[in-house]
Amino acid sequence: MNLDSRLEELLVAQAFEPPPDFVERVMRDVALHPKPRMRAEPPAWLSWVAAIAAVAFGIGQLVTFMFTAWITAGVE
Amino acid sequence: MDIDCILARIAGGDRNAFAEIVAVYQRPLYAFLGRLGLTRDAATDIAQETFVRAWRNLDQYIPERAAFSTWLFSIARNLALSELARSARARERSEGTLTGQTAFEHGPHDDLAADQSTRKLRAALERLELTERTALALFYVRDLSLAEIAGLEGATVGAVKVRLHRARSKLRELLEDELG
Repeated sequence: MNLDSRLEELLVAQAFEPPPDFVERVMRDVALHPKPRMRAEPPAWLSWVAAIAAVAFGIGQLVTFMFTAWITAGVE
Repeated sequence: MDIDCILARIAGGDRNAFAEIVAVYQRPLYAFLGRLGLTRDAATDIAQETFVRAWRNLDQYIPERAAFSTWLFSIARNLALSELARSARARERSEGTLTGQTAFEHGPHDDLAADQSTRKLRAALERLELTERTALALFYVRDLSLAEIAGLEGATVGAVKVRLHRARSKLRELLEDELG
């Protein structure tokens, strides 16, 4: 066996094996932290802005309708 | 493993999908940390912290910029470098004394019958430049290409090749008796 092969062998043998319960240990740690917001998700405040905009639009429509009705009633 | 699918499941509220990521990457991550010359205990702490940080910062992962493995290993690399620097400082402080365990010394959970060659290799790895050591350790991670290693190391592919060559030459020199 040449030197390089022996060195490779040593380096490969240097790797550790994770403990059998490693995934469970990590997931126990992960459980302590809230679910991160993912990139694809819109920020939480955006839904509030959308809701307020929808309500404002609805009120605007209603006011316009009532104003139009009032004008129309006046003309008649 | 379809990482996009797993990330979509996590976005949908399935926390357990992250366990699949841990299951896939735990071995290569441990192997990387072992080849850096860290002890099993230090490797365990860093591997665990790497996954927790990855979980907390999943929103910072940008698939268009790098593969998930590259992103994950960059977290591990940074943590490992901090640990190596910390243990180097501790070693300097405790020089001349018998106390002060460092990342290179055998922790209580290390195999008692640790192979002599492994110990010599660990001591030799310690004598490499940090950049040579990280390049060498990353080289054996199957998921990473030379270009990705270069990205992680903040160097060109050519520079990484030079570091690998230098690291191997130094190790051959340091372990002459062992390899011969």
